[in-house]
Amino acid sequence: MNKHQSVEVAYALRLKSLLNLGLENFDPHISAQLTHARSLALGKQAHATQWAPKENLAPVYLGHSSAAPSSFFSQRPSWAVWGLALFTLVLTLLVVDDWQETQQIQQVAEVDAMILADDLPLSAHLDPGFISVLKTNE
Amino acid sequence: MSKRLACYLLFLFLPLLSYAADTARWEQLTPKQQQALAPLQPRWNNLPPNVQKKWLEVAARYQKMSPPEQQRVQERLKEWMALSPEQRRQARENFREAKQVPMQKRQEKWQQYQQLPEDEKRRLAQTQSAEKVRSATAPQSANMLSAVPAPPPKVSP
Repeated sequence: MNKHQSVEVAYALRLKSLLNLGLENFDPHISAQLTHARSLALGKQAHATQWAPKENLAPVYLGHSSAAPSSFFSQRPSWAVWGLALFTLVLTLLVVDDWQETQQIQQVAEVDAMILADDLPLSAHLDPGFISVLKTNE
Repeated sequence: MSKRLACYLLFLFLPLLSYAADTARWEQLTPKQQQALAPLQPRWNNLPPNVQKKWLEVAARYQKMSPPEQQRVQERLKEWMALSPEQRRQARENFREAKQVPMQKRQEKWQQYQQLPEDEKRRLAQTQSAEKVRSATAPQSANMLSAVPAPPPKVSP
């Protein structure tokens, strides 16, 4: 230790003793305020730690992305999730099939209602000769 | 989690429940539906659900028809049910073509057609059949998709 360093250490020790002197004469009101502020800060820190997403705490693997664990894919879906997905798929197919059938039924019903209420008798619509006449002399 | 799952399953099952409960017995029909479909009463409960659905659709349209049209529907229902599925399909196809001609002209032509001798009617029928065969076997180079025949409807009667 050279002379310059020894002067610095002596200065630091003197400063420390002066600060400690200040602590002994600390105003109780300011001390209470500092204690309160510290407890508030600690409380906020605890709350932030509790609600923070766990992914944020996961280690980051720089340069080794393939080895890094993925939070989504690392969790294997349970059988219930697979079952629900399959059930939803089957149900969707059933609903689509039902909708198509309903559309078809409405189209057929529309034509049938018109045929049954038409001015011409059913036999006219069953007679290919009459349809031929309609087509040729349009 | 279990409550949420139960709600989800209930929501998914609701359409299935309505799907399963779509067969209606004659007693469950409204008086207006029964009146419109009266000629079908003897065989209603034995009709397949999709056929019942179709007739209920017809009954809904029946309510909007004029009295002469309603009377014609009543008179023709039994005759329609006596047709074979192929005849009904043919009638629908012919009606779609006949609809292109105005009603007045259609009626005039029907009157004229009925005056024709039977031989002439047979000849016209054969012409129509030959034309159908020709159109069915025509080269499909222009538009392959338009030449693909539509699948037969699931609703027959």
